Amino acid sequence: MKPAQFQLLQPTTRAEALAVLAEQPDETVILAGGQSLVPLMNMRFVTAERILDLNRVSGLGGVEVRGDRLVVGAMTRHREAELSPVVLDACPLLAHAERHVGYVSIRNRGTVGGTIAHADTVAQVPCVAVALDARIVLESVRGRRELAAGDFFVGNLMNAREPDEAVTEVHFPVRPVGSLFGFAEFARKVGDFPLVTAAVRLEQGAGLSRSARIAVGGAGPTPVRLAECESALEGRELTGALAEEVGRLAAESVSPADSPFVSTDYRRNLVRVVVRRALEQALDCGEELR
Amino acid sequence: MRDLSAYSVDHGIEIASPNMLGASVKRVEDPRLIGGHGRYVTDVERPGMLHATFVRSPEAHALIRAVDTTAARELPGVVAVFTGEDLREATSAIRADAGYPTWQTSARPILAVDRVRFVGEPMAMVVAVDRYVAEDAASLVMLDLESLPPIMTVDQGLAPDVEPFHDGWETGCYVTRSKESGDVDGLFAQADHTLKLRMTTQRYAAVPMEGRAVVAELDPHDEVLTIWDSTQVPHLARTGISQHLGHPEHRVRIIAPDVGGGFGLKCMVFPEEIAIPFAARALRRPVKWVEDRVENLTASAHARDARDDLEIAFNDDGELLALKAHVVIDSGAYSVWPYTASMELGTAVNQMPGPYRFRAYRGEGAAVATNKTPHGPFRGVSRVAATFALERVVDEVARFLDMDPIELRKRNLIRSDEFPWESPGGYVFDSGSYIESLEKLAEMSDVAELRRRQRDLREQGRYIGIGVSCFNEQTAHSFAEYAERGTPVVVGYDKAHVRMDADGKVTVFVDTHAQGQGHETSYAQLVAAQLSIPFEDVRVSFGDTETAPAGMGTFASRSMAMGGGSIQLATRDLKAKLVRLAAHMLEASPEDVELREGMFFPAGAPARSVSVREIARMVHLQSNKLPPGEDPLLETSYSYRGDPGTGTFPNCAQLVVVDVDPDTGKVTLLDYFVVEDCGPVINPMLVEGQIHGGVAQGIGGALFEHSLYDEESGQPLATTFLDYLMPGATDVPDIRLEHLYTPSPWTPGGVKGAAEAGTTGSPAAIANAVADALRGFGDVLVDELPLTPERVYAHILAARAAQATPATPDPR
Amino acid sequence: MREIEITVNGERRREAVEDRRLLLDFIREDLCLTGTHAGCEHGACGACTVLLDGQAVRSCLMFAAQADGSELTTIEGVGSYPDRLHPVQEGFWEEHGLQCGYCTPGMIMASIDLLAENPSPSDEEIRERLAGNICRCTGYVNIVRAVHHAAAAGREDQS
Ligand SMILES: Cc1cc2nc3c(=O)[nH]c(=O)nc-3n(C[C@H](O)[C@H](O)[C@H](O)COP(=O)(O)OP(=O)(O)OC[C@H]3O[C@@H](n4cnc5c(N)ncnc54)[C@H](O)[C@@H]3O)c2cc1C
Ligand code: FES
Ligand code: FES
Repeated sequence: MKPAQFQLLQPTTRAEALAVLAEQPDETVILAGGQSLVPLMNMRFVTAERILDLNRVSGLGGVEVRGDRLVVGAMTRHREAELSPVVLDACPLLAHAERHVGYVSIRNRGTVGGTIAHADTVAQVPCVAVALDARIVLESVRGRRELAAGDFFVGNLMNAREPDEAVTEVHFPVRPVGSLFGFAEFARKVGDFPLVTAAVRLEQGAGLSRSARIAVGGAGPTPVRLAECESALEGRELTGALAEEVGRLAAESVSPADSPFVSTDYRRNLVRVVVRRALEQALDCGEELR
Repeated sequence: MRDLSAYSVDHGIEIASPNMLGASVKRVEDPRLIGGHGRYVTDVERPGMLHATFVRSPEAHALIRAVDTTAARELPGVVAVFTGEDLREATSAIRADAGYPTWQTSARPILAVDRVRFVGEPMAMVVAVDRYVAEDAASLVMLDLESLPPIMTVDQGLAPDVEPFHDGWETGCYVTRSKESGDVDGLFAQADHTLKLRMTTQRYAAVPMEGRAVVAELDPHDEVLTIWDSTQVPHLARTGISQHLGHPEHRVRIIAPDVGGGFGLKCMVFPEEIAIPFAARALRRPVKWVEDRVENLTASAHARDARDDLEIAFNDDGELLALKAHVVIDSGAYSVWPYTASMELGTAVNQMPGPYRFRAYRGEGAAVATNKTPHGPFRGVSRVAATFALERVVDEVARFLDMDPIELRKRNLIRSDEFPWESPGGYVFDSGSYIESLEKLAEMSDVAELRRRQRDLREQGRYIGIGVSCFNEQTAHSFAEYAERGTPVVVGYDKAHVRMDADGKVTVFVDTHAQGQGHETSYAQLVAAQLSIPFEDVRVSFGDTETAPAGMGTFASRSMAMGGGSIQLATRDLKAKLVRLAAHMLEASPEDVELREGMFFPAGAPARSVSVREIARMVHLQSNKLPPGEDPLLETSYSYRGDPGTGTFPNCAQLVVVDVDPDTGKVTLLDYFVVEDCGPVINPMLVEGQIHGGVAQGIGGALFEHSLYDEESGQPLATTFLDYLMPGATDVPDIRLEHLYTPSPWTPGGVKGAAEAGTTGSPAAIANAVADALRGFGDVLVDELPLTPERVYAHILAARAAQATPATPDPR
Repeated sequence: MREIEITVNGERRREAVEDRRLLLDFIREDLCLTGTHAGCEHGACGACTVLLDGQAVRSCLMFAAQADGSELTTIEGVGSYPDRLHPVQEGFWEEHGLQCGYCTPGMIMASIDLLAENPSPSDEEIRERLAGNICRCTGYVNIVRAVHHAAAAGREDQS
């Protein structure tokens, strides 16, 4: 189980990196944390003439709040996003979701940009990104553009990136004061890839929910927002019973594909459960706030 | 009843330092292993060494039209590419035949010829300067295959119109077995009730953390092929490789250094173990191959995969009368050497009645050939599936009768005063503590309190289940058992050679191996205990056929009874000589000489003494002082055959508490209790480690692991650790353990095998616990493993819908 | 091929590597430090865990060239018998936290990483943290005890 031949390119500046990518975009694969890519290379499911390593590019990591956005550099390690007080304060949903990503030694290397670009429907961070309508910043020698997470993910393991573009930042909205959030997943084992994920954020006024955002991952080719569930919460008091009701609604509104180890019906049930659990967490964090 | 009293012999072993036995001595193997200085085959480097990789069949069943290696050969760095045709003449196909009349043979070429029969079967071997280049070249080998429909289920294999894929076969089975004793039909007719259930155990695998690995090198000086092999059975490997490679056995040397886990996988001889030495011989350069994880999960061997139809006859008062079993094993594409494709089936048929006092039994079944990875031994061969099946059925009987499952078991278990017991399956159980183990289990786990907790938690909406299993198992079986099976090798003895050097220190050479069991420690304890010398003065050596005496190796929980037995007996003989010499030096008669703390002295006169060391010095360095008739030699050998050869039977009982998530069906283990009785324990710490690890493997089988195939395409679906789920630290609870110590009347020191009990009983206990938890939802039958969240959730739904087919016995 | 410079267990090394060479193979075959093991080569077992600039990483998921300029600690650099054993190594020995020893170097590295961050972990924290390191032999019961043992030794050292 050894990777095929390639040339490893290790630029140190963003401009160089984009230039390298622009030379032969179709023959170049970007390497971030390598926690998804290298297994695929070792098994030769991915082969490439050129590997563009972003690990030495300066200025691609780090988190900061800019206005109403939490800006997460693409090369920010999962572990940093999990533990950073800045993230915990500005976007606790992301920090919470990060705890579920693989194991510490995976999170020490794996990156936020990498998991976004990898676009695995069951991955935790993409689910959060869709729920919060995060913006994915793409850069190339041609310029810079931003895509909404919902537009960036176009299929399981597929994204809307042009071959000469790199993900350079991910922008998450800063949490509105007093908003509630929850993240739940179902995995067969601790640290294993989940079968489904759910991310929830909502605001509250006079005890009633508004502006709810709910996304589930693993229930289709990409994580998706569940508009019906969101409206079902609008203007109602979040209770255990409502959480269950919305969970059921969520299960009805998705149609996951059958897979060898997991049937459609079971996955649908899991959607019910994780949506409910995410809402229950939101409820708990509401209690904490009070 | 056979007369076995002759075997209950006094082996004449006298323990001079009793504190050496039953002591948790820290392992001598650890300092190197914790420092990263273990030496595994994967670590072996030889000057000029080449690296091999295999091109494996991408199809489950196909005719080979062509294997084109042209492009691969041209790649720089590639030294050779071999195909099945290249090896056809120089090697012989592996045939592992059992001696049963219904047997049909399978021939497995070392590299496939004409036809491939499972995904992963080696078709070509690339040898290059390193593994990277070898894999580059492997991807350039062009395969031209003509697909054939695969046989992917036992039902397909059993169908009358099956087209078998082995030459000359008339049915789709390697073998069928049947066994009957007592008046089965009569007892079934007279029983108050009968119950018939099907229990299915999935296909899964041993999965040691170090895969298989082979390095081979031909010494031009004497044409000796040295083969570093990650094996449990160095001498069997030598025989197997020699035979199939046509290289004489006295010019084959196997070195099995540290082995990173075996669990049965590494007690077979595989084609790669023949192909790599072939390449080393053909190229006259050292060649290395290390199995990667995908190869390990798909192309080495799988295990279990049993479908058991059990029918049980019982009375209102809970008496179990008779049992019928029909066992079907999915044995995969080839019969494995030397155990054959009869192993799982044969022992399942023998084992099925378990530790219960059934008055009659009929067992039958078939080992079916399918286009899957060959089926081989894995810790708890046949007993894991059989115990799951029987213990589930016993629990369902208890439930039907509304009896406490522990009470029902106690009523039917063989009592301690009934040994030796000839079981209707044909085994002779030597001794045991079946009822006592269960009683101790109930006491240590405080079942009554657990039940109370279960009721309380039920009111809070939690579904807790308590499950029990109890069983005995055959370990350390030897010639009698294997002669009956008619296997290519009658597994029949183990051998030790004990040598004392001039400084009074001892080296033990033994054929058995260790893959984590700690024999370097526990064997040394055996010797130190008899000779009354410091533990540090004993070194245990094994794993090199050049120095270790020949024997069968390590599997089937045989090392302590068989290898340890031979060590104890060789040590006994060495000690006898030391006593004679001490007597000579002390001018006493040997009967009057006593040994304590390394000193011999005449009984009652400890002031006059001679040390073990002084005797050793005399023998080696002052042979002039030897009395007439004594040779200057302090070495003894013993080859222990394990009479009567049917094995010794430890027993064990397990209780587990589970929590079932009503939303998802996910099972969490809360508490785990084990009572095991493997006779006198040499090193409790090591036995406990064996139980812990065994239970964890059982948890894997009960909840996670599954070598699943796509039945249409024949493709394996669990090819990496992302799909083949191994239990991790969060999946195994703390395990509480107590011992009982019922000796075997047959083995030296009364020891029994200890390695498999943990694994054997845990799927059964877990399944019973899950079934118990699910009763909170309604009527449901837990009848198939693994108990994945999805399967358990399906049970919950079915129970809720009250649509489950209840396990209702036939009304009478 | 390219030259890389790397500090391995405190010793500066300069080696030539192919771009595609995995850090794991580099450690095992080029540096001849065979204590780091390959258990899956796809990031799922933890046998290959080493400390890179003080952090636990899986050496099967990095290329050697990426470690250029880094500081690497492998099991061989952690401590050695007889008189320089690390408390975690002692713990594994004392509590019988290993059988075949194949997962052990990775387990020890992951445990060191855990204790560096959390000197008094609970059972649950130990299990969670080691969940990505597979052991087929021990059932983890004694591994958990081994880590507790090491933690206690560490606390004693403190006081
Ligand atoms: C055992 C194990 C368990 C895991 N468990 C989980 C889990 O539970 N949840 C989870 O989400 N993940 C899990 N992962 C994956 C891990 O989180 C990865 O880190 C993550 O998915 C990808 O991030 P990376 O930085 O490692 O990306 P890489 O592996 O380097 O790259 C992934 C893909 O994204 C592309 N890419 C990376 N960065 C960029 C960029 N900046 N611009 C454009 N394209 C880019 C690469 O070309 C590649 O196609 C697990 C991995 C392992 C080995
Ligand atoms: S070998 Fe690296 S995680 Fe398994
Ligand atoms: S000790 Fe063998 S794998 Fe852990």
